[in-house]
Amino acid sequence: MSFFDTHLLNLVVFLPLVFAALVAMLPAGENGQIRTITFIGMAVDLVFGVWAYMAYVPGGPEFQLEYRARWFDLFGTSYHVGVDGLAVSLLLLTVFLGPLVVLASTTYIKHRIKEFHLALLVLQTTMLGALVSLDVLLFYVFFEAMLIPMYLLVGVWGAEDRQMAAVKFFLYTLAGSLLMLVAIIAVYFISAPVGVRSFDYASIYNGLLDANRQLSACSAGPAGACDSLTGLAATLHTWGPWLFAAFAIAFAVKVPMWPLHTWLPDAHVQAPVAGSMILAGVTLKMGTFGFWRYAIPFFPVATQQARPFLATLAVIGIVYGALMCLAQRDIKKLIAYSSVSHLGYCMLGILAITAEGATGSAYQMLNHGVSTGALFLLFGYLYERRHSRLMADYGGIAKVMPVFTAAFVIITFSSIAVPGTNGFIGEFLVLLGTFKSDLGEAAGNAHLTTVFGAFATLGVVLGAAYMLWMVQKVFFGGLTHRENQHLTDLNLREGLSVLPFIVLVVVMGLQPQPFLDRLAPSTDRFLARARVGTPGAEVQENRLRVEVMSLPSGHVADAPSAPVPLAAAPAVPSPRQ
Amino acid sequence: MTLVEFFRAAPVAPDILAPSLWLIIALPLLGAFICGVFGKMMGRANVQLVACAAVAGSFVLSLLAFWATSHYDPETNRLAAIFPNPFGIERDYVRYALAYDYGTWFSAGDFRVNFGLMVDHLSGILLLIITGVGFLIHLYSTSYMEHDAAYWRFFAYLNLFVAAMLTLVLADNLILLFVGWEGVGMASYLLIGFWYDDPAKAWAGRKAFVTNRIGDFAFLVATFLLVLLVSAFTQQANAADYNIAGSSPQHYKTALQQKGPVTFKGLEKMAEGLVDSNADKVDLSTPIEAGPLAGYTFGGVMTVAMLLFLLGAAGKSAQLPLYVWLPDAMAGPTPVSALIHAATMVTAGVYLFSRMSSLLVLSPAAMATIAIIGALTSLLAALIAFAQDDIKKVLAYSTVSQLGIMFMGVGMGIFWAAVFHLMTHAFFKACLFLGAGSVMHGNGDETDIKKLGGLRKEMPWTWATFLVATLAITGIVPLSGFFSKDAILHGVHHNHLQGLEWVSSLVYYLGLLIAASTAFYMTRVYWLTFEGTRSKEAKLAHAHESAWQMTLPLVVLAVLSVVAARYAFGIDFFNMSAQPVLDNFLSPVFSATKRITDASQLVQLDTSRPQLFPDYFKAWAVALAGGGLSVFLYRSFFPARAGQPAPAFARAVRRAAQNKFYVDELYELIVIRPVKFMSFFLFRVVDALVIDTVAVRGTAWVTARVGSALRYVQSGDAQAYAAVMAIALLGGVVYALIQVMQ
Amino acid sequence: MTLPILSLADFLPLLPAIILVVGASILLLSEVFLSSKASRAYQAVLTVVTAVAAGATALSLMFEPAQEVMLGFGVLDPFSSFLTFVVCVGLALAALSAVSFLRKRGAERGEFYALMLFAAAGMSLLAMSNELITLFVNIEVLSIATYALTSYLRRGTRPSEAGFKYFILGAFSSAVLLYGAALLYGATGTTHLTAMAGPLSTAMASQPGLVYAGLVLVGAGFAFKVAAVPFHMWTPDVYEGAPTPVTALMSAGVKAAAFAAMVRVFFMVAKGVDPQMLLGLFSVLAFLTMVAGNLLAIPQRNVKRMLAYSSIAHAGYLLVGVAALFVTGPGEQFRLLGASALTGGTPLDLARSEALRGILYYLLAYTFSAVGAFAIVSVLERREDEEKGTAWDLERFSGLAQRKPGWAFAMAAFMLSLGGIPPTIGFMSKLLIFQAAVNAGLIGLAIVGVLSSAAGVYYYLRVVVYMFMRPVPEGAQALERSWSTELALVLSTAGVVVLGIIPGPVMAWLEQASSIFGQ
Repeated sequence: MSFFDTHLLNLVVFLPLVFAALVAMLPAGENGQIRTITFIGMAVDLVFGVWAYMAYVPGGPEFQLEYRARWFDLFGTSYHVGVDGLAVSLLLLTVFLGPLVVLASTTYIKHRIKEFHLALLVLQTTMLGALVSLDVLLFYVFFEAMLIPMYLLVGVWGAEDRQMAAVKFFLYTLAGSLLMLVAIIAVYFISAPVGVRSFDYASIYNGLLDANRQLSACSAGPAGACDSLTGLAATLHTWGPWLFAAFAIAFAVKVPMWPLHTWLPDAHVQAPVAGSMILAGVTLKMGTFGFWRYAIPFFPVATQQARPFLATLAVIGIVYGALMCLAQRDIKKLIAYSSVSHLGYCMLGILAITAEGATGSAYQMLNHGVSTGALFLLFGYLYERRHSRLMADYGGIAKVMPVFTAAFVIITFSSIAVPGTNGFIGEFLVLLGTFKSDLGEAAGNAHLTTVFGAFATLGVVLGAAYMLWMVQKVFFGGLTHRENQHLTDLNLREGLSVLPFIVLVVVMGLQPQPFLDRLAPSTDRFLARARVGTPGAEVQENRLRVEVMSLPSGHVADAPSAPVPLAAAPAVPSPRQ
Repeated sequence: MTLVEFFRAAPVAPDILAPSLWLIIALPLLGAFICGVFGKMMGRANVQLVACAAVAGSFVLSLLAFWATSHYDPETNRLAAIFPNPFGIERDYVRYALAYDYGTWFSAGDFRVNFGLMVDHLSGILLLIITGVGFLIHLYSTSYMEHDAAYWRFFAYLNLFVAAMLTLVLADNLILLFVGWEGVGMASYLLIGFWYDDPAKAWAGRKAFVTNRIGDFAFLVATFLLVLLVSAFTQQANAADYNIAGSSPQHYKTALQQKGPVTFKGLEKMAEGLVDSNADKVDLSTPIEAGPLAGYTFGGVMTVAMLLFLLGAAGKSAQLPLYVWLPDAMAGPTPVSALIHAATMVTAGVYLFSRMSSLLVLSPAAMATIAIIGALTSLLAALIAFAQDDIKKVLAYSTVSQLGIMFMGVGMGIFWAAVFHLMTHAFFKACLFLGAGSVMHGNGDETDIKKLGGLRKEMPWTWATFLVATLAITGIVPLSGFFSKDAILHGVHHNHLQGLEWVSSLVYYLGLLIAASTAFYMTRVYWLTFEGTRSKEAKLAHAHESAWQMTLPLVVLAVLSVVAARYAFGIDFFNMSAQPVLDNFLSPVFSATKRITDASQLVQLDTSRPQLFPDYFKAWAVALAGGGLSVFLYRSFFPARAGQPAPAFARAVRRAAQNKFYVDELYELIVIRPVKFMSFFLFRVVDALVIDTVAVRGTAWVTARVGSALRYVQSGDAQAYAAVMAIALLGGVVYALIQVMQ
Repeated sequence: MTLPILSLADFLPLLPAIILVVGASILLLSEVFLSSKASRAYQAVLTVVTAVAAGATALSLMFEPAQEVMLGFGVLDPFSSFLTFVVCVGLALAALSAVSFLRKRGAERGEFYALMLFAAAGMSLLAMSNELITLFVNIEVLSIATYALTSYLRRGTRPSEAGFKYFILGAFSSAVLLYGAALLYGATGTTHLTAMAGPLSTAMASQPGLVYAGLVLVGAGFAFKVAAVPFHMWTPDVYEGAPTPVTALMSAGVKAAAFAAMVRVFFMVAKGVDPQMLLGLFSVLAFLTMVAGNLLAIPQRNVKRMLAYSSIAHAGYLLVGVAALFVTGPGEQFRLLGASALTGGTPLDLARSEALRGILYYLLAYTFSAVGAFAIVSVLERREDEEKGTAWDLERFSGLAQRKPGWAFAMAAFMLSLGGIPPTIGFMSKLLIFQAAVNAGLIGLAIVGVLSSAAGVYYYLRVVVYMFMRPVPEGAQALERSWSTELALVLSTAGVVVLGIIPGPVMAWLEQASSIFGQ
């Protein structure tokens, strides 16, 4: 049991913070040093992140590299981290973006460089923390804390009306997640009797499991069969949908799902290149990740009821987002709306609750991080040279910036899911999963499934339409604007920062299996847990319960310690006895 | 040693060659990579060398592979090119084919796709066409693109295209085929927009890609339907079903686990299993029990899937309603038009349906649709070609028209002839395009046939080859075009779709009409370009013949389009009623199809051969009539009446034809405009106004307003404060009283 | 009647208050002998030392068993000790931030600190008082001290106006409180809270009107002290008019002590009367206070006034915790705000102790955040603008991040903490309060709470926007630093951030403090 077995994740999560401390000590003038230190920090973090990714054994237990310590016992929470396949993959994506983001900003950011890099490093820590938390409250803390540095990134280093965008982003997401906070607390209380209550993921999930199964059993039965339920099952029957709604809204804002998406274009457009990259690359995934990890497993029955609705929203998001792109004049806004469309695929894949759909969705999360991240990166370089986001100001760029154009076109193909690139596999699996899903039955008519599928597939056409439209407007045609005639092509640094993306596009497109293998265990468990809600679906028992390490030493941190006169707390009749 | 023995003694045995099949694709891919990345620093000559060498290399390999497919073991003198069909029982071998599976590409749940390659006689023929014609066109391009600065990009794209096209034909499953399918689309997008600084050309490339994407949309949905169909089949079928297919449940299921549901062999087996026999449980009329398709019959779903594939193929092969992109695709360099938009890519649809013929023959309705679509497209394109003056445009429309003929063949179940026409068309149409390119090259890129003429003397080689090709496409004996087209027409005439007999005759007579008009417009092009006197408006006074790199391919292709005719004759040459060589050659590919058609009489395929009289004479008559008419008109009539206005209706018709019967405008009106409008409407009204302004900002606004409204209570006046408190207190007391009352 | 004989041991529980009073007296006396020129730096130091000593004593007393002191006129229980501790923290920080503030205005005088200490003593005693008259006396002690402090800076109209208002309205509310107390006495015949339960229940039967009226009046009196809507209206004017360090002390200490007394009184009373009524009363108060407080703060450009309103809003969150005290068990149905029986199986007094814990922790968190925020305000305000009232305009904060990164960071931390954003103590305390509320089944209140706090974040963020995202206004004169203020900032920032991430010993204290005498 070496140090790294227990602390690897802590290392990955908090290394950026350590380097943030280093940066904080540097004098504000030393831009070069600040950049170097930050880059080194991110790079080292990347190394450890890759290590963690490699250390994750697909065949092993669900959560690996676990670490747990006592933290705010009084609140019934604890510091508990660990990764499953999805989390570790997203973690890899996050640490992968880290160094590149720093590279991308070296010339883009010209003022208040120290604060900028501090914000970057802190942001990295919060994102990684949210991914690895196995304690719902801990997750919430990171989930919220993430807003602060991102808010500063957008608001301080953003474009002209950055402040509006920043505040909008902050309040939009905060309002959503605060409701979730109440729901989390409520779940904490109902999931276990006094004395063993805990915010720990495992205890909450396992606490709700039996009730969920009773509930789904009766919801399969005749109408009103669930009225006879007692205890927790009854509570879930009345309150489950509301609690699920609270979770769902919080995550849907983050994803963002139509119609809660309007913060995204503003934030993306105003954010600096680093902000957009991280926002698209990682932050949005927190929403889908939340659905996958928390909202759906906690409330499978409510999910089952809401699935058709949510799936409809997802499909609307796919088509609507694509149509929005066709209406844009602003390149960054177009890319932002394309994210709405792509994330629609992710949501649809999750809601399909089929192996193909879930795997595709998870893979699509990674793809979107790579391709859209790269798009923002590349556009950032263009913006640095030309300081315009309007397509009308470009045209014929390919003449002067061939390498840049080649890179952009490759990424474009990945983003419109041309087979052979990573995008295809994710999108294909999602669509296949949708076609194989029982969404239709959930919606009342089995045949509706094909309708969902067909409309989602429509996005494939529209995607090509808007992306190629933009590519043509920007890169092809004559060099009409004089300003564009002397644009310089990518320099070495920029080229190096783009190369990893292109390599990944091809590698993930041709050799996806290693990535999929790590996702598979999570998908299986997710399916098993989500299917608890689908009446009559076969459920693999062995995959249901969440097994995690228990709190190391000391008196059980799970129990919010009761004052002395109440020593016999557990003896109190609890609804599930 | 006889020819047959020669063919049976391949230099490399199949089992040795099979593992190396991937090289066929890898070579051009590598070439593309090298040319694309290092091309600029390598210099023109090296790039040309690399590009041509790559294609030549894969041509050699293809040749070996093709040869190996009919290799016989010298000792046992038994066929060596066989491999056990994973979906069949033990003794079920796939004959005259070699295959290799390079393992999983990706898998999720019970879905899986492998890197599986297979060469049988069908894909073998296409391999040779792609690499062979491809090589010739590379060679041609070395001279054609000699003045272009971006030569390296050009050859990179060209190699990329070849690689993608090879993937398409080598794939042993639908998804891998789809990779090639979209890959060629991507390459053609890049090549059409090769001269991107001309917005129109870039736009044409985009149009091609997006139009193809509409087809790909259908392709994907159809694939998903097939996946569902397979799973439904495996759930419902009983032993008897597998039995007819020459398989067994466990064999089939294990094969599914290993190779995934979308391999052609697996689909073939399912198709056979769907044939009705007395003992089986599942046939076309069986309703699907579970899943999203519950309630629909297998046959119904199959028809829908095939129709969707038709839409997909229509996108790739430029059929109604998606043919509009091909004429614009002529914006690309001429060699590209020759290779992609004549010889290879556009025939992908025909290949797809031949590949899946076993599924296709289960749905007469779909077949009829395909045939009719093909016929209509063909006729429409021919009519449009009448009025086009741009030599490449004419050839483009003639391509659409010829593809339509192939679709007719596929639709009426005479697959071998369709493939045959595909091959001959590849030869003579490539020859024509390259000839046109040579003409343009020699005349300062003049493409208007009205401004050419009399090139016969100036460009003898071009002229000769162009003439041969023209005769071939027109369908004059003894050129290949005649036989291939006639084989199709004959089959169309004599095959019958169950319940849709009327289609045969309809399509047949349309076919004759098409043949006539083909002869007409081709003769017109030939005449105006090469015969007569040189036009006054010609850019150059004297055209110059092109370099050998350009003429050599012309000659080769011309020769090929003559000798290819041999395939149409009987195995023993002089027996007119014997099975044609190609038919026999492709029979192992279509064996399953044949079994199905025999078992389920959904399609009656007849094996009669066209007779000298009346069939051949009829065809000659038609062709000569069309050709003669146009010669007569353009030789004596129009020049004589030059400058005199034609009657109004004629001009109207001509204008309509020139504007392609306003199909593009139609699409603009009913598809593009509405989509654009909708997107703007949604953006301005729904997104910006309703959601963002009203809902989001509205909430904030209301909150703020309420806040500032409340401020007015905060007057700063102590008495007022006290008063408020007193009132609140009163409220409390009232509350207390109420509590007391009850 | 004979006076009771008190041994020295009986005074031990009062030690913190005694320490404070002694310190105050020393300051007063020393001031007599000082010339007006002499340096008065020591006074702040002395104040802080006293505060620390008192706080430490309070902490040590926290682990004493709960007991009656002074013949039951007061009680010593962990609850009151923790409260004293909180008050001392607030006092120390406020005193630190006062130094440079007073020096700038040439108003360094011993009385100031002495008054602060007296007020603190009053607060500490108020938290301990177990008898209505004692309680009233202590309220007056701390009130009068704060009245004086409010108008301490005699220059200009604002301080005197603020002091006047505070005095008039305070007197009004005290009267109300006293009247209520009298009614309760009339109804029960006792003023000892611990002894009141029994008589109350009988009185409820015989003459409910009396009891209800008494309770309402007492409640109103406290509502004024804690600035609960609709008894809040004095708050913005007084907070704005008072010297900023005093405002800090008011927002932290006075509020804390008043809450302590209120909790104790009604906690005891609840044993005698139907808690339903109290639940209703406090839920309504909480609802109004949270919503109105936040809404009123949104349009403010004057940061000091904004903080005043925000202190009202925070009183609202605290009232949620208070309301949670009066839930009478599982199956609680409170229709007005859609509470429900979520809390199956939580034993009642566990829920109560959770609520108490929440209140106490919240008070601590609020003390750190608010006093820190006021400290920043005090260093940024410019005297000459005070008449115009633009002394505390948002513009003061523009570009602070470039001018004084440290201060900007600290202020951002306070703002986020007040807004309840993790990882700050503000989030943790809000969490505890809402935990208690949900546990008690007050889902509705909890939801209103989080939503109103979302609205609140808007105006807290606006300060951050100005500090980080606005350019430095030209002609902004340099901000002089002073060790005391910086120290105050460092301490409060540490409290806000560190305690938000690392539980530390506070958790142990809280566990201890969550039991109230006679529970």
